[in-house]
Amino acid sequence: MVFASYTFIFLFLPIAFVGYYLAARVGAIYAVAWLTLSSLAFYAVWNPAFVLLLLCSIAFNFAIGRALLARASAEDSRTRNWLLTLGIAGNLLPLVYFKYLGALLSLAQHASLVSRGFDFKVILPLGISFFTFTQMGYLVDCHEGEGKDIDLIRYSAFVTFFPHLIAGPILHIREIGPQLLNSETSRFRIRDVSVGISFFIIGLSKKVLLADPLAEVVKIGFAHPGDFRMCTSWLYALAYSLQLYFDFSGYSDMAIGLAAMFGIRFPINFDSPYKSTSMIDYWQRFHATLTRYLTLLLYNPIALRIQRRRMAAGLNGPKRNKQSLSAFGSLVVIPIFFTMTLAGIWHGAGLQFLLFGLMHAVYLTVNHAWRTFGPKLDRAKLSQWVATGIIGSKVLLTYVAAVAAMVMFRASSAGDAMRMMGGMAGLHGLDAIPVPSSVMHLLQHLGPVYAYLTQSHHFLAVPTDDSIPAPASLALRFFIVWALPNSQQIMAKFSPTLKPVRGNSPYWLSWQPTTRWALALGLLLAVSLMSFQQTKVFLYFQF
Amino acid sequence: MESTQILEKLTAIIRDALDDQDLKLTLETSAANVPAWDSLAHINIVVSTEMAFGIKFKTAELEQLRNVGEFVSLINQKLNVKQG
Repeated sequence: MVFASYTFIFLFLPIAFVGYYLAARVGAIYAVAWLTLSSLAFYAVWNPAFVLLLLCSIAFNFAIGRALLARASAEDSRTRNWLLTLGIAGNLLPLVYFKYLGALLSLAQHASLVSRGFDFKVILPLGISFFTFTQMGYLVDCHEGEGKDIDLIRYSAFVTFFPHLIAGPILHIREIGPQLLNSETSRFRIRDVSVGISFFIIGLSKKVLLADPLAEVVKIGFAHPGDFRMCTSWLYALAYSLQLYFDFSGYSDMAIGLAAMFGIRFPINFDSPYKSTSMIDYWQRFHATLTRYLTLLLYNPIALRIQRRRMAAGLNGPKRNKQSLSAFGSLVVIPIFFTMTLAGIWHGAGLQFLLFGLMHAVYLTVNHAWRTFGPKLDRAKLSQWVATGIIGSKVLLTYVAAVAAMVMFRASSAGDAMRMMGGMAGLHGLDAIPVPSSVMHLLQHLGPVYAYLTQSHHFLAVPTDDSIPAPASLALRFFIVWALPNSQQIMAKFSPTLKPVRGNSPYWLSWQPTTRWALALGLLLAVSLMSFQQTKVFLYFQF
Repeated sequence: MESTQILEKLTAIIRDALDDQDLKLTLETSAANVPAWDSLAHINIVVSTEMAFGIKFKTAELEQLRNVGEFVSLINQKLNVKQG
């Protein structure tokens, strides 16, 4: 069941919602149990058989977690390490089977390591990467003594809670556990519910009105990656970057809104990533809970271990401006490449995902190298204009680099991605810059310049082909991405997220519980509901 | 050890790691307010602190720190456990 469907909005959600607050009247624990039951039903609609897999996974992880917590003393640290290893292996096994075994086998068949006689095909259980990661994080927390007071009912609700079950955010037990333990959470509060509904509508409209209409055209572009010349290739790549943006942003908003309707706060997962001024910044804003997860479980432990060893060996901790190359290599390059390679293949088994991870590893390394070895600007001495120009070019550079990696992410194979990038680099020839017809009308007033740009040199043209993304529709989306506040900034006064929101929203775009806002959002909801026929599955459902 | 002593020792460590001898730290300072304090600098600060105080942090503990004040109380807590 997808959030942007009539079944979800008019059947599932009302039942889950009313049942939750009715159950809470009997007792908070019943409300939590209801949450688990309705979430399982939500999952079962897609494929009932895999509910069993989900339940086994929950039982296994809860049991390992209990065993870890029961051995809290220092003498048991060896046993704890063994238990954690067993737990992680138990989680990775189904993930490898469902997600990577097919690709590994076909690789082995290509290398003639196994016979070519059979074809291995399994369906990927929805959200397996997400619920596996959430639970491995729980085990690591138990290993360090966290999550003692969480019982099986609350643990099941933590894992299955439908707003995050299938595509994140990836939650920590210490941010959700206390909320589930607090009986105030399931007390009906009109404020949380109206904030939640408003947040949900904003997300729904992003998904239905801004992301989905681009899906068809993006599909055409990436089905024929080698067929386009430079500007058209860029149009397709930009259209995909915007589709992905509004899809994931819309999903994340809906998740926060739905959680708020049940009195639960989620962390921010998507924080205007295309406004980032560096790649390091980008990863703090794009899928922030995955970045946080990978930093906590891979990057930090590796970097800490390396640094502890270096310092113990007498290689003194490098200071910011006296960083040596070897320190940079071992403290930055190794952990980043390790983490980002895994982040890449977390998204899928293809070579293109590995290359996507590697591209980002290179970006992040360059970014860190620039910070460490590059020139230091004294910002106070710059004029306002220069400073703004520098920020603008940083944002643009970060975005373009991200788009290049996204081509890898979207293409059906690494070869296709290369062909698309070749087109973007101008290897398949140049074509006219596409401009909206309205802009073209304005340009006509320029007389000879207009004739030069269009008729004699064909620098500019209005695209006539329907299968090419319309420049005006992309421009509208870029305006929303770069010029408007994001959803959490619009809702900031009523803070429906876990951490404080950065940045703010102008007065006229700050949500208030008023009739005006209710009417505006009601209208947005009506328009979104009427546009459902072209609704697509969320892009992040495939991971 | 008193919190003020810990803060003093920690300030010296952080100034060294960030190579900024004029840096002023209070209990409310957070990494977000100090531009040079990024993930890499953080690793240096953490390990230097471990060495200086003879303690060891868990990654989950470090994740939850919001500001210098919480870092100081974590160090304090570790030192108390160490002394038993």
